[in-house]
Amino acid sequence: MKHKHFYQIGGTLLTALIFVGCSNSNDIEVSVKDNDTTSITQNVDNIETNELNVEYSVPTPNELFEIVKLHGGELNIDLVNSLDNQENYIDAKSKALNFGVYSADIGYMSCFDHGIEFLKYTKAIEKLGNDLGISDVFDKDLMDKIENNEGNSDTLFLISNQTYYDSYQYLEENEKGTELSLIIAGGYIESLYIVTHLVDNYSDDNPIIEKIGDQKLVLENIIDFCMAYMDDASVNDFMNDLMELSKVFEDNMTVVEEDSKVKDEDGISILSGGGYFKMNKVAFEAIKNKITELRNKITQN
Amino acid sequence: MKRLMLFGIGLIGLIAIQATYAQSCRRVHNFCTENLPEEEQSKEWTFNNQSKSATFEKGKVYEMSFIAYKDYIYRISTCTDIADGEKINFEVFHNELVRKEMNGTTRLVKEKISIFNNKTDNFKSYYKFRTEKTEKIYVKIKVPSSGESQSKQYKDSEFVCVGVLLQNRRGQKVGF
Repeated sequence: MKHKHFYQIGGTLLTALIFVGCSNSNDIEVSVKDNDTTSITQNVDNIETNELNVEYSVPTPNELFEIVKLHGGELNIDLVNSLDNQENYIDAKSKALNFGVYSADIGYMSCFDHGIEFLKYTKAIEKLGNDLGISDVFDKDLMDKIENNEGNSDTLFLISNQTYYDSYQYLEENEKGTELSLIIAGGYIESLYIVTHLVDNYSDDNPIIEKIGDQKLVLENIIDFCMAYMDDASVNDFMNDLMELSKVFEDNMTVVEEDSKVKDEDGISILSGGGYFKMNKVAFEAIKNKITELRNKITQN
Repeated sequence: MKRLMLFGIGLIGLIAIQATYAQSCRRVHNFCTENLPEEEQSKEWTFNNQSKSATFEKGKVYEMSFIAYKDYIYRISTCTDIADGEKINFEVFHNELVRKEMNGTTRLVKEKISIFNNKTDNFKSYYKFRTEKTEKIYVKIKVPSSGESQSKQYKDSEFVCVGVLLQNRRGQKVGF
């Protein structure tokens, strides 16, 4: 995996050029609003590291759907990408992106107890996966397990989670970072598209809207992950779309500045403060519009 | 030109060697629970897919980043595949938005702030935390500089496997 860092150095250098401007290597410029300054204290015994060698993890769409469900999100089957579109995905880029899209769709459907079309969607993913060289993940055992659990949404949700993870691991271990980048991006776009469309009207206290705002951080890690594969034209091309989406988050969300606090409660550290980007009505609508545009671009290829 | 070609060959060789090494640290993070004390062995934790395993050179620093959702309790456990090696030093960071003066203008920047270093806690192999807002977290591991990898492939090499196991459970405030 360390070999990947060679590419990552190039990618992160590019990120640095794009984002950092004249800041030091620890900092990433986020925006300029006014002239307040905040003093900070640094731990003097830090582990020193080369900032360019960071590996970025991204939560799965299933993790988001689980949280959204806990906060009252519901199933809207009209939001998933139709299987009728699968024949349109001919080139490797659209196959990888829509592998991610359909993976997010089965996560959503199984999370919200709609197991009926799970097998059909898994077969669509399997077909795309075969073309992408990850057929090993979709063995007979997996397909049997799905058929035997049709209607058992809890098990299907676990299977979809495991399949996504296995695909991720397989691609990472087999040096298929380009495909992996596009799959992750496709899954992210689809999950954010679904979640934004579960909310009709903005309200400050809607926890689902807060989760939509949280996706800014997820997007940052996706962009940093994909940077390692920017030498591939399809990743490079899609990166422009991700950057535009990132700008929509950043330009429209409200910056809240707070000092960091860490306190201990029964052996668990509670982290608070530190400043963050907060959702507002304008940001919600701008993100929803942009994500719809990107999702349509991917799925209506 | 000759020097450039040699550099290119050397680089390709290095990448090939590291690519070979990369493949056998598969899911080392799953073994991080072995280092946990008995009171931390409960089944209440759910595996988080952002866990990572990597091949890394002895003595170097491995760093990864993940997203911790608000109100979930996370447990980070670290391990290597070195048998009876020195204890692992790891440190956890989060971001703070700060304003900084740069070339005469004030810019809002993210700065990494250390929130835990296990050196201050007898090199404990895990760390538990909950965030009051969704956060990007960084984990840095100082890979031990001595000891042998248990993997046959890395025996007598400078490489070892490093794992960061992430697990989570719901905090009390999540959902209805």
